[in-house]
Amino acid sequence: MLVLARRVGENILIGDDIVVTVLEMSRDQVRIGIRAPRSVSVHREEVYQEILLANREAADGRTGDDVVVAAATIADLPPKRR
Amino acid sequence: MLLETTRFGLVDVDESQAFEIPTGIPGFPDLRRAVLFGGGTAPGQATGDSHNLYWLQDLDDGALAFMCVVPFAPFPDYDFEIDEQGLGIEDPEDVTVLTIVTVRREGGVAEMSTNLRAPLIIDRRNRRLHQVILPDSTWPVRARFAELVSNGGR
Repeated sequence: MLVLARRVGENILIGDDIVVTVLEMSRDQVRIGIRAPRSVSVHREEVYQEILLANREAADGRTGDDVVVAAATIADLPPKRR
Repeated sequence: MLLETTRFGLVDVDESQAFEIPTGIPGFPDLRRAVLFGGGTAPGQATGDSHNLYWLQDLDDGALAFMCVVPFAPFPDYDFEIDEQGLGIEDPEDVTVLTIVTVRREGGVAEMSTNLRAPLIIDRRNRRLHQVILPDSTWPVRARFAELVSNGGR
């Protein structure tokens, strides 16, 4: 891992078009600004991991019967309202 | 093309109806081409008149399919904003929103939830699909909407 020391207001460049700025520091928190092209997705790691786990769980972990009943349950929902 | 699927058996898929998933989805980076079964036309077990139930079926992996729901059916208040331009969406009217369903069994009860934090944004015009992680949203990753009691616990 590359480790760099930066002060508030200073930047780090990643590649040609990603700029990471240290905006503010308090005792145990740092606020960071990130400027990146739209094609680069930026996420808080724990949120991304939670969604990754939910996707994996959705892809397996289901017994056949449950799926049939689940599908029927959704089918029985009233039509969407918009 | 004919696709051998785990859920639906052998299915004849119209490849022109496939959706491109430019970056895959979290946990499934290889999910790049998929078809949607549903809106009343789902093959296999999911047949019926429902327009709330869809299946996202990987075109390159017959074993990979996600159950999806029109989220506004169980959650009428569901709402969010996305960067349409960033996703290459030309007209919001072209967009269909679905969310992935998880069925989780604990004890004798199976619980259904859906991921409102990361909806599937489907651009029907450009045939593209993104799972968008809503950046500062409080919608839950596991929003419960039903408990299944029947047929369970075997």
